[in-house]
Amino acid sequence: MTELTTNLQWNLHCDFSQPQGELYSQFMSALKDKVFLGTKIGEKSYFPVKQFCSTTYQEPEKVLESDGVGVVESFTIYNKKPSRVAFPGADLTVEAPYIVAAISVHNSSQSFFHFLSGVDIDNPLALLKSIKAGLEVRPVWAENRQGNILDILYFEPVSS
Amino acid sequence: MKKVAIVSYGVLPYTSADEVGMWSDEATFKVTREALAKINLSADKIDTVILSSMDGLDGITISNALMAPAAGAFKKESTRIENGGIHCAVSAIAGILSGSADIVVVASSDTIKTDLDYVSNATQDSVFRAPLGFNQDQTFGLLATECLKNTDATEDDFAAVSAKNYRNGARNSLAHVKAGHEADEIKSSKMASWPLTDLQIAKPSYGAAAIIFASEETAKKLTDNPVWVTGIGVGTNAYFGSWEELSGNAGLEKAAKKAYEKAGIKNPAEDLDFVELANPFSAFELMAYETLGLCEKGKAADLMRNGATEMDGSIPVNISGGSLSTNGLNSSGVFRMIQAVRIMNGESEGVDIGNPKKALVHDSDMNISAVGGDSHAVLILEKGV
Repeated sequence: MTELTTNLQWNLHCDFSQPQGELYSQFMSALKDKVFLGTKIGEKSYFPVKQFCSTTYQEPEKVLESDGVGVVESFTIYNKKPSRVAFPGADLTVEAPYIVAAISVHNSSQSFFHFLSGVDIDNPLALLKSIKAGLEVRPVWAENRQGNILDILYFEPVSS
Repeated sequence: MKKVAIVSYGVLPYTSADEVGMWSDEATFKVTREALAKINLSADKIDTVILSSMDGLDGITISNALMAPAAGAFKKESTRIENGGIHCAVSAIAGILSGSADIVVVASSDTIKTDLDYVSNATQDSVFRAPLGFNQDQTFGLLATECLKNTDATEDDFAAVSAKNYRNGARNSLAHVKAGHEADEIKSSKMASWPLTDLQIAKPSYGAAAIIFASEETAKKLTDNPVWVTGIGVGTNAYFGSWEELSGNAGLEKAAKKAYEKAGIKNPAEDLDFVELANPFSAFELMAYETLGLCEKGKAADLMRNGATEMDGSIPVNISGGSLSTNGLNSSGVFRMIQAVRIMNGESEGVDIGNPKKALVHDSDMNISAVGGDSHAVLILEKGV
């Protein structure tokens, strides 16, 4: 037996397509108009839209409109270029380091993740302090909106 | 009530992708054959084979088709589970208790290197999270920040709990990372996903592991050293949910509660002799102390600071070195069960915790996926029952 071992390399490339359904299609379309849609399910509101509530297992009753203003619940400062699945027509432009935040839009019962900018990225403990106090943020919209989640460039503090 | 035992295991020492040097089915064959040989069992006596693997990591679709015969599945029942090795164990035990199987092999291997960040991103929904480049490390950072926000834990505590795992891993001949990284080095390593530095996030490890389950009657014939499964629990988190739901470890809470009820555990910190926890990042271990009921709410950092979870403490956690020392993405659950069996049978070198009778082993798919939708499985293992 020889101790020689070799490596074989390969790459998988495969295209996928998925119907977005009525609610997600409405949500994507509204982004072009700078409107952030949600759904009302029972007593709770869900931003962005959701087809069901995991907790109550109920269906939505109606669609809600909002400006996307919310409160930061947690954040992380990511220090790498993200290795990302390709989405034609939805290019990612962020550069490391950047902040990813968990955001509750209009007291949503569903946390939403997006980028946070307009804060001091070099002082995370100060940012932690400000989110403990309730940091209100709003979406900053792309000029050319395509109807996808990257129509929001990032969120920034309402006070900025 | 019928009982099920772990009767044997086989395992390769874990290593880096560059050093593992064999095919996945070759590695699976070696560890399964080792497990069978230990109890003088021929492959034809296996009733069922259950494999833990994820196609996205292996770069092969339905990768179990390749792997199942290597684990002795030719002409037998076999299946594959993507959530992890302890989820496979749950299925194995169900098969034995239902009477459909008497001897079940659970096997898994990690020999194929891929881009974990990409695979993790591909586990995300294609509408909201995947386009942002969201992945496991970002999840870990969000959860660690939540830990800083809502408890008295600090970045120093995150480094200290990591150092404890690396210290234990350095003693474990089967562990991948044996460098024994210390707290200062961990804290000053490159920032990965604040507040977590690079050495606070588990890196992929490569190797293979197989474990054999048997019914009570058969177990007693096969070995003098059975380790009995006395409690099982599985729980799943919401994928879309409030931040409280996503960060609250509800899946693990449910899994532990169910396992404790089954095993008659009322006070985990006193009733358990040690815990083997899947901790893909430092802060998760502190979060889990509370979730598993090892301490009161808000007291996790104190538990760690007091040394209670060190090897010589009152409730040692991750004597094996945990995920930070060994993180087989397919096989970590099987590896972790084997670590617990080795500790209970006095086979783990450098481990002296008396005569442990009762242990908790945990596994989840968090090391690949991300916040939300993660599934957790807990086993309670016992000796002499």
